[in-house]
Amino acid sequence: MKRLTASPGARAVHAAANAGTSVPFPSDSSVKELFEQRVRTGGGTTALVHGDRRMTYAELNAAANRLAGHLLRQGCRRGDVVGVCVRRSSELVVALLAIVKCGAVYLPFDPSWPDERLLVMFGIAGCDRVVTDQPGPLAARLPWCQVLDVSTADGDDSADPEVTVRAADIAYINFTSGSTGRPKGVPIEHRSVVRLVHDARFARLDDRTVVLFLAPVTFDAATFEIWGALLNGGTCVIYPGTFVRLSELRRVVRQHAVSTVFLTTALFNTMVDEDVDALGSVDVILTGGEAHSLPHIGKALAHYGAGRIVSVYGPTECTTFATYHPLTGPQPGDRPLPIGRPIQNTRVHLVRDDRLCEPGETGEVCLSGPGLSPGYTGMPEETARRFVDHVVDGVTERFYHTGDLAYFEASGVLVFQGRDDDQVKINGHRIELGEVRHALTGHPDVRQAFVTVHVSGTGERLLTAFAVSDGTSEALRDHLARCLPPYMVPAVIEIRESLPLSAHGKVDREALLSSLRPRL
Amino acid sequence: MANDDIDSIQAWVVATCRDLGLSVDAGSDFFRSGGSSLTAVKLIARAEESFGEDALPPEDLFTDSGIREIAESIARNRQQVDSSPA
Repeated sequence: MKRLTASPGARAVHAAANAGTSVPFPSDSSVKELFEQRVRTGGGTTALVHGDRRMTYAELNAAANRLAGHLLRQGCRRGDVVGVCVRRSSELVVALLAIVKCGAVYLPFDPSWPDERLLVMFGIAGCDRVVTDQPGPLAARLPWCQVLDVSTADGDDSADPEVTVRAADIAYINFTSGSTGRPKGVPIEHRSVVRLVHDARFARLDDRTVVLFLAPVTFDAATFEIWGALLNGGTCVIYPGTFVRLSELRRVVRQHAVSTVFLTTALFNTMVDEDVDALGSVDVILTGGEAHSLPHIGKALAHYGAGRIVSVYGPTECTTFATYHPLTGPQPGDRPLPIGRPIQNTRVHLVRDDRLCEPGETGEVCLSGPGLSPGYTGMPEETARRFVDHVVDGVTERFYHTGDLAYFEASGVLVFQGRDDDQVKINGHRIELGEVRHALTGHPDVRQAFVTVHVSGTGERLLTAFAVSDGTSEALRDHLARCLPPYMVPAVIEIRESLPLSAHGKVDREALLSSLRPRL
Repeated sequence: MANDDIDSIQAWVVATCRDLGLSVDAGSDFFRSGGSSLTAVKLIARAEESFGEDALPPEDLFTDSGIREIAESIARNRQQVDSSPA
């Protein structure tokens, strides 16, 4: 427990930032309950669109209930963690829904992740059962798991399972990079999902909303894309195919009258560069995950006009989004794009040296409210370090310390200022450089390693590693591919005889980067 | 266009990858040269702009990412402006 002091100026700017964020929401309801309510009130409404296939709320519910019945008969119980490895499809949504209907917890994973990683993740989460559309290959890779085929529909009991699911039960676990070499499991409660999508300030979410499901399900933007539609009576349009293609994106959003799309910052920039009008037909583009590029934002704003592009920010630990900033006019070029104000039922404090920051003063972003995870699965020490009770003016509030730095403008709008550690974001993926370094030095031939981010000639951020090693960079790449998910394997691996040191005795990042062969 | 052979498409792939910041030559592999999933989105968009929709199916690129194989995929999939039988 920490007591925080606040000057009058700090108090005023925090009050301005958090004003109006607490709004009524069904904080005692589970995802199961709210979805089943939607089925009762609008069972004939389209819930899912995938290619030529449409499913109404009633059809989706019946399919999920059949799979839930199968899971229950296979021994799945409330609180069990069930791995999910299904291609982005209607079946994937059916699987997620079936798992939450059992009161169980879904743990999405990607088949490209190495066995070693899956073993660690499943061990942390206590997961010994998976639902998949590739049962054969996964049964071979995960011999200790019960592997269930998502398309199994034994029995025809399409009634809602009689399982009571509480708002404080865990709905899913997402894994994120951990600096000590162990990935961190972030469990999210049902009420946190409801908090994200109920009465949203950052985008209109109701029964006319058509959300594109584009994110990999292992990425928590999918929480918004799926439940933002399905808990509000809207439609979730599933992007067909595994790989994003701008021409396909353009076609899908027009064909299905998609209203709302989330793009990672990197994909947003790519769209702006290659086909700025690809999403010309949608109402709202949410974008975030990394610091925004002002030239891209400027070009997009000129094309889309005010009010259609919303910058969003939030760590997985606070359920997808924590703050939002709608772009209403030209952005001043002298400061980064703000990350804005808290979304509904979310509060933000900037903390520095046990006090709240004044306007203009940089501090650590601390988040609170019902979006917060209860803490990292099986990591009490890391949880105690990051999730801390604070007392402000006699009121105790649980803060999540993000490690992100920001300052408040006088109006209470938040401006991002980077990190206080070596966590980086690449293509929306959160990566602890320490975890990659840890994996590299785990190779017997590597004596020393340095991992950083290098911006390519075209502005792309590339994970870049330097290793002092007798081995080849190909061998190190193969080694990393065996223990890290593909997005954490550096794009560039350079072998050096030694690493240059700066005057302070630290590895000289600038010297290393300037030694990279110039790219043609 | 009709007379484009694989070599000239390959020259286009090399030039485009270089423009995207990758140091590649005809013998390189797109991903091993630092190409990311985003660079892939860009390459595919540019291939479609130059050679027509579906000119470079993502499944092809992610399966065979050698520069030569990319050129061969485009040669197979590009829209034939002149489609008179040989």
